[in-house]
Amino acid sequence: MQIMKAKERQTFIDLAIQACGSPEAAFDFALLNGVSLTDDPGVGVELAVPPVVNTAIATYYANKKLYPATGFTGEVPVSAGIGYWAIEIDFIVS
Amino acid sequence: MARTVADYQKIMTDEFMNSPVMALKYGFAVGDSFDNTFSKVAVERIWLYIVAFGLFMSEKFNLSHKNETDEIIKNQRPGTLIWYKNKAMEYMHGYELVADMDYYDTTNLTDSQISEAKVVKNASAVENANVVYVKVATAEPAKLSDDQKAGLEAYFKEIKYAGVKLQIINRDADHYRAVIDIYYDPMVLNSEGISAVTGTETVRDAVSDFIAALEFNGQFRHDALRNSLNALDGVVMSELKVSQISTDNGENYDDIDAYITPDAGYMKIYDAADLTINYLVYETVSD
Repeated sequence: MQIMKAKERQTFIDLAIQACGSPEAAFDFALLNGVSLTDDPGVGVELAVPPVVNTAIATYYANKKLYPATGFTGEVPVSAGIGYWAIEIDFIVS
Repeated sequence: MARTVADYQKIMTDEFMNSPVMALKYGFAVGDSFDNTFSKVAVERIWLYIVAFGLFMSEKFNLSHKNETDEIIKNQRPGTLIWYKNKAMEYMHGYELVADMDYYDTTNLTDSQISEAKVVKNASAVENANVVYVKVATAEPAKLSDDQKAGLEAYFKEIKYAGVKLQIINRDADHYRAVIDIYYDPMVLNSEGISAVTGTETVRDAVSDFIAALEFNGQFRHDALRNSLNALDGVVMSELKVSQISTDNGENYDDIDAYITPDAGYMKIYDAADLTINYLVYETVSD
């Protein structure tokens, strides 16, 4: 069985696209490794890889060395300053 | 069989293309092909894909839940061999069953207490000549103590089906002995089978590991043993000259014909002398 390691901010859907060529493999990925689909796979943890769904896309990702990482856990930074203020939100029209 | 994302998408696009309201709004003829009407990156297509993906995932969840539930139901059907096996593993030494029931009251016990009380860690149930044989062993695997065995017998007397003849097999590992010819590559191993890299006798270790890794009451197969030996570095071929098992503490040995299920459920090489390995140089080029 093939083994891979997740990178920072990669989710199971990212890993499924990268290794199996389709997000359809995401559930199999999580099930095979005994964790929840929405869990963080963990950076550097060894994960078993399920069978490839779309060979063309998986090969493309491998050849181009693409590592999708769309996981986001932090807060969206809120920009402040007069350039970002908006009428009716920061400016009260009275 | 689970449907794919494409299946879900097709159901939705068909419905979409057959809707007179949509046909009027978008200006296509009812029943047109979705693929020919909308671009590959049309927002309609992307939305339908997202919904289809969601449905696909939820079906996956439900199917996997169903499979797990089926498995539990299968294991719970009383009276089957799997049930006897599971019941053996649920036996808790030193605790009383709930009156007239076949389970324990574990409400006041911690997980570690429960796990300690469950002395049977390996079990298997087989039927032969109208007798159900339950083979049991501890985690190592090793024999249960006499007290534990007596307790297990009383437990089965309580829970087993009326009329079933049941016998518990609780024995030390069966003895295994073998003579193996190894054709080795002299660049990797020496005539004693010592690997030049690791300095250990890899073949001997591999045989012990193979036997130790056998599933409880699993089949021991010559073919599988040879394959695992041939995969070792420096081993070109292997030949099992003698392969025997003893079920009576090493007094009488029987030849194994291709495969066997150890009577005790597990077996082991007790003495290093029981495993003779002859190392023969494998020469491809004749002198």
